Amino acid sequence: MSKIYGEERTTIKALNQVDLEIEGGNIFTIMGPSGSGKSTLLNILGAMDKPTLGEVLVNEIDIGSLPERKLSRYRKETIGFVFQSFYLLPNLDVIGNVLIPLIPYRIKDKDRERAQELLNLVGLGERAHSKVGKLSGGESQRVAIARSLINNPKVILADEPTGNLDSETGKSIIDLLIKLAEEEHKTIIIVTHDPRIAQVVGEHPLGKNIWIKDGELSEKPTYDMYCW
Amino acid sequence: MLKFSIKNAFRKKGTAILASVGVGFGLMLVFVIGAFTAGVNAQFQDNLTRSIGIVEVLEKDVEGRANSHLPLNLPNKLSDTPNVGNFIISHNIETQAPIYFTSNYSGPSKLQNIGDTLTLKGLNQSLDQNWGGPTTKLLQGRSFTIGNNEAIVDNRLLDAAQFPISIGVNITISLDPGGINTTTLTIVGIYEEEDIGAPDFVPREYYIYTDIQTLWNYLYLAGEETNVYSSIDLRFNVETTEETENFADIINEYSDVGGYSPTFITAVALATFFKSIEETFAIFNAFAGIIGIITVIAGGMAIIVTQLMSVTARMKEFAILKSTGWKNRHIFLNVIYESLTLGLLGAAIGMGIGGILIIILGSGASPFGGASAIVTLEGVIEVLAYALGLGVVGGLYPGIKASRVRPVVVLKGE
Repeated sequence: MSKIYGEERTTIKALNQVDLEIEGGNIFTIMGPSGSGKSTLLNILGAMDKPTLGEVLVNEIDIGSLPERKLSRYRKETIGFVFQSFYLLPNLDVIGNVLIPLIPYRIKDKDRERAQELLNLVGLGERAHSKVGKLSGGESQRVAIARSLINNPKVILADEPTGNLDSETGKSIIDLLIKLAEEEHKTIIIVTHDPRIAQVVGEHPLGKNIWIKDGELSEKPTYDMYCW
Repeated sequence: MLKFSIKNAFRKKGTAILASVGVGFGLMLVFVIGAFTAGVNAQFQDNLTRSIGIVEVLEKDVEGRANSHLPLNLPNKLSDTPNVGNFIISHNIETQAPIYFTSNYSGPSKLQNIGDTLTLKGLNQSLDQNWGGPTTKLLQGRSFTIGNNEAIVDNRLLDAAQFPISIGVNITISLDPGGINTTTLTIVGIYEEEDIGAPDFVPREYYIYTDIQTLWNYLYLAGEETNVYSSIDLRFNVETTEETENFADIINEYSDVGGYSPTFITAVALATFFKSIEETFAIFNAFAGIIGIITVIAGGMAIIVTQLMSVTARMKEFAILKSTGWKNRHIFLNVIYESLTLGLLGAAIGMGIGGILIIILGSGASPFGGASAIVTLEGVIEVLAYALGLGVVGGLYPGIKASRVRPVVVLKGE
């Protein structure tokens, strides 16, 4: 699969003939320097962008060819996104933010119960009705993770989830994501340029690191991959 | 989602409330104009309905009713008019005294407003009873007796007159334009007179009624023409203005060919008069409506600008919502609901302030005191429809813009 931006002479190959197979229930990191194409890869996996060439098969369905309506459904049912900047809505309390993906549909009592369970899972069970403005960075990211889980997706895509956190808090977030793979059997894909995360994931039995540079994948890093 | 959108609409409280107040002022104008229009319209409709079937006969080509002199045998001649007489179900006669008869009571010091007039009229009581005129609408006292210098007065004078009005009080009548020779009438009753329903500052004509013989006696003393009627009212059993006008036309044509010779008369269907006022009022109404719409549009721009600013500042938020599975239409509806919330708040503000304004303007204490206003269900629905329309129109472009957000573009760099 390739992703090319621009036209004719000004084209940029963000992803070049990427061939990647992701097995469910594992943890992946996509490591690489800025501009290497790792976020583009994540966006395509999350159906937020489409490849220029090739296919992205999820359970044998090419999501690149799905219309927008079906993509929304795919995102809702299959994918949970976690972003670097949390993006919690300040006018909702903690549990309200967890329930955001369900707002367009009728929120039922069982949904609230599930949101509370997820908050318990991420360690914020006591803060369900707190204002999000009073949360620390780590707590906010935990709420964002709970939000990504509310639809019970099979895959969690995390784009630099520790980018705005100190190292200790960042580690607790990675531990939480690993826990989701271990206990909830989620497939976790983390985009990062933090080698410490790659090391933690690489040492885990379910973990696998993927390295990317100039839009091309490699299973082992080369020296210049560290020189970003 | 509605609850979420309502909360979102007030994320920037100051801006949202200012936008709603802007819309509110426009809608207030629509609401107030609508209420006063409905009030005046109801009054006209009432007058129009009551005037159907009534044809008023005056002497042709005279200026002012007081100068109309109709012979005493004219009611009989009208009854003999071909294609008309058989359809007359009742009639009333009236003689009006010249204006100087009551001029001592006119003017700013004696009545409420400049331009108010006090008119003395003579009636035949038995005909008036059959007609359902003033002598049948007594609120206090009794009707006048014949030849005893007694009168009944318009109940509106209780508020408007700057001189005593009560049973047993004497009213001075001038018998010459200088008011040197006078006589007196004793008030024996106060009857209910229908007000025109216009604001208080609009000049009104107030009435004193006595029996026709007493008035003829005064006219004789004043050297005025006596034993004549000023007007004759005819009532036909019809249900439409057109039918009433038809009888008036026949009478006029019959008069023009000398049917009532030597008298020539003018017959007017009262409904025609009210209809013409209504048509004039409809033009005013349309202008007022246009002003209201312009004001609403100006207020509506506030919603568009507020929503555009809000949507532009929240593009990342919409991108996140999309990434969690929100569809384009969910985001579009969310923005529409937000602007509908602002529009409906504007409607509430508009109707709230408008309601207070209607109460103030409708009370006697205001410079427009007594202006009749009716808050109708249609008026409220109109304001709500404007608010909903503004909400949809105001949210349309921002909603489309928000729903078309491409997460991958907006979240680049995350």
